[in-house]
Amino acid sequence: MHISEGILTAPVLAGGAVLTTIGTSIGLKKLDYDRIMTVSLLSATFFVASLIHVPIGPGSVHLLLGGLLGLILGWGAFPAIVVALCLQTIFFQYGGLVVLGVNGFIIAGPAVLCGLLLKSLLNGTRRKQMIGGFLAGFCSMFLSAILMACALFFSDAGFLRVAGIVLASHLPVMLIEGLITMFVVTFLIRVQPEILSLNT
Amino acid sequence: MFIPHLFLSVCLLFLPIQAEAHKIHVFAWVSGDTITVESNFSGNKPLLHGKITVKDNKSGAVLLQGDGDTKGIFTFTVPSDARARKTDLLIVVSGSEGHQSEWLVPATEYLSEDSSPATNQHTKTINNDELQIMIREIVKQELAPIKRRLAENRQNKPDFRDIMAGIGFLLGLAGLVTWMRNRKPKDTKTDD
Repeated sequence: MHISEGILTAPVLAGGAVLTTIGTSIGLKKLDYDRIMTVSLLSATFFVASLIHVPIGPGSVHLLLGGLLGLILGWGAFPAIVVALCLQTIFFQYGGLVVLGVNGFIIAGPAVLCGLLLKSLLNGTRRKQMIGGFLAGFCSMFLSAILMACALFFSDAGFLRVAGIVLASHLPVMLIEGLITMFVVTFLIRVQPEILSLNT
Repeated sequence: MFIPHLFLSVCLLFLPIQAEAHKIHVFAWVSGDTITVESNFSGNKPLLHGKITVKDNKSGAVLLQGDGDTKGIFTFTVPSDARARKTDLLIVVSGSEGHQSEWLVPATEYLSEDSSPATNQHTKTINNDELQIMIREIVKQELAPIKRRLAENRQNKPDFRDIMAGIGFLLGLAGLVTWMRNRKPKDTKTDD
């Protein structure tokens, strides 16, 4: 899910940078500073999650846990993901600093969207909570794959081909991500519901 | 109740085994006048049919292109044109999902490899020059796997230290923000 440097064209890079800057500034503005430790811990979770490599399917894919961050942090997921991505670039040479904007939006955009849309489900019955958790994990990665295909399409040709490859290689990891998010969310609701700031 | 715990612990069990990067690793080594390029994803999963482009490092002109095989290996002979101009070769490998990595083969690396003049096969006694050539050939063969290992090691893969550093950085960042937030009210109080 990390696009490397030297692949995308300048307009795509600029567009991604602008969108990520907007998202990050909204995220920072909406950030409740009492929750800064939660943001930081989840940012660290995201940072490490990308190292968990899922050896299924044709490509090389890893977890993202964007949906989980979106559900717990809302807009705060944006800065959390961008900072972690920046560190991944520096430490692991994933992606690149120039592509940080695009990669940031590809991952954080869907995470925030899914988090905001599905959060209400977590107030419902246990079944609804499970569905909400699964969908957040699954959909955020699905949308990220679509966005990634779009970014590659605007720089290269053949959207359907690229989208097909990206979606096919990420499908198993989407399911795994959905399940992990579901279990973590239901577990957190039972053990420490305040971290999800529900019923507020 | 029980299942989530079990599932999470199983996930955690797999963590160290699969703590691998998501990035194409490329490395190339010279043997004789051929260069072998090996590209794989982390966990030694080979990059299937990656697109390999060999460029002139200075001008960026494409010298040759090709596809890797199912083991992620691509072999090519150094173009005579590049050899004549002593160009550094930049090998760019790209996968289909927006992954791309590069490896640089400096001209000195392949020029030093081929200083083998034609041998005179009719002489029965071995003179000094021929002995030198033979030794060079044997050493070259013996060194090929070592060169591959060296090339492989030049790739920096994520380390446990990198991971801990990243987590520490993020926690430190949170600490810094908290400290700044908590310091402000005190400052204003003393000013007032």
